[in-house]
Amino acid sequence: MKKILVVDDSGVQRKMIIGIIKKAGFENEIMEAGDGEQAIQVLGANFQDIGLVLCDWNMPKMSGLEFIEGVAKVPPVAKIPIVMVTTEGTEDKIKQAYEAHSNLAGYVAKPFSPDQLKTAIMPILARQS
Amino acid sequence: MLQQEEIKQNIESALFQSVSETISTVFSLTPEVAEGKQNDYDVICSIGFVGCLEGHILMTFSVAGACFFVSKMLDDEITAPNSDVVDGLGEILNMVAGGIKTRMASTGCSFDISVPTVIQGEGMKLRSGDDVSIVQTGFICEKFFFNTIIAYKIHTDDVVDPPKDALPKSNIDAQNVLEKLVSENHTDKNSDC
Repeated sequence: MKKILVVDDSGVQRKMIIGIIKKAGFENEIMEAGDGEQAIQVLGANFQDIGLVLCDWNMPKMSGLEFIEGVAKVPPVAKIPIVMVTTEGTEDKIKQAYEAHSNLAGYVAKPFSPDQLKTAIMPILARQS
Repeated sequence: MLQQEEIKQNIESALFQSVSETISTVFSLTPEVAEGKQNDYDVICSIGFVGCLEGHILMTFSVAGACFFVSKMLDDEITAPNSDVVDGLGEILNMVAGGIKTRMASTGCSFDISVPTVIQGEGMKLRSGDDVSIVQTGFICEKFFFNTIIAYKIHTDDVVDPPKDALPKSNIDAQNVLEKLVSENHTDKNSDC
């Protein structure tokens, strides 16, 4: 079973997301990163085991946008599904994200309900199981 | 060019809708507008913004209210402020501010927001300059009162376009680092590289 990488500078937000994933019955192991730089390290070291990345936008050291831009340029990791989970909900920002990574697997705007997050990730995890 | 009064009405509407959406979506609760104002604050969360408007968005809570909301976020029981409470309140404000930003952008008024700051004290009061406009709405939710305040100035003659990506770039080249790590960690299992 592939792992899920949750990237958000807020520990509370990561706990919330992980709680929703677990309560939905997904048993995937969860990895965490607190900013884009950490996410690069975790993803690079574990890319063959990671099946989904949930990524915030506004983070210190390296933003989510810069992270997905880098990921999109490296073929072995570019095909790992990434869902942005962010307060950036304007059309401009959504367009910017898809321009940075044309194969972005989804975009969930904060605040989100548990059902909204589940709807975004279920099809991705179902394909992998 | 939007008039000052129209901007104020847009802000009031964006504030109310954003708070309602955040509280109902994250907590499955319905906040109601509270009559009267609370003037002493125990916990203040603040986030700055700059662009067509500049200023701060603030939320204020009692200590008990702060613990209540973050407990609900984490499905836990928190009785005293800790690092999770600080982080959680910052996230609530982040979501409210993000919602205000998105709604104001649709009226032609764009700005970017900073990272949240949380300050805890007792009986704190807010002060602002004479040239700063204030929009303030108190809410009550499950008997806990909280305030949302926007203190702002309008750039009427000198509209500032927010930079496309306001966050500074990282010192590391993401693509470069990833390529090195992928090469170091690639094994033959599931190899379709």
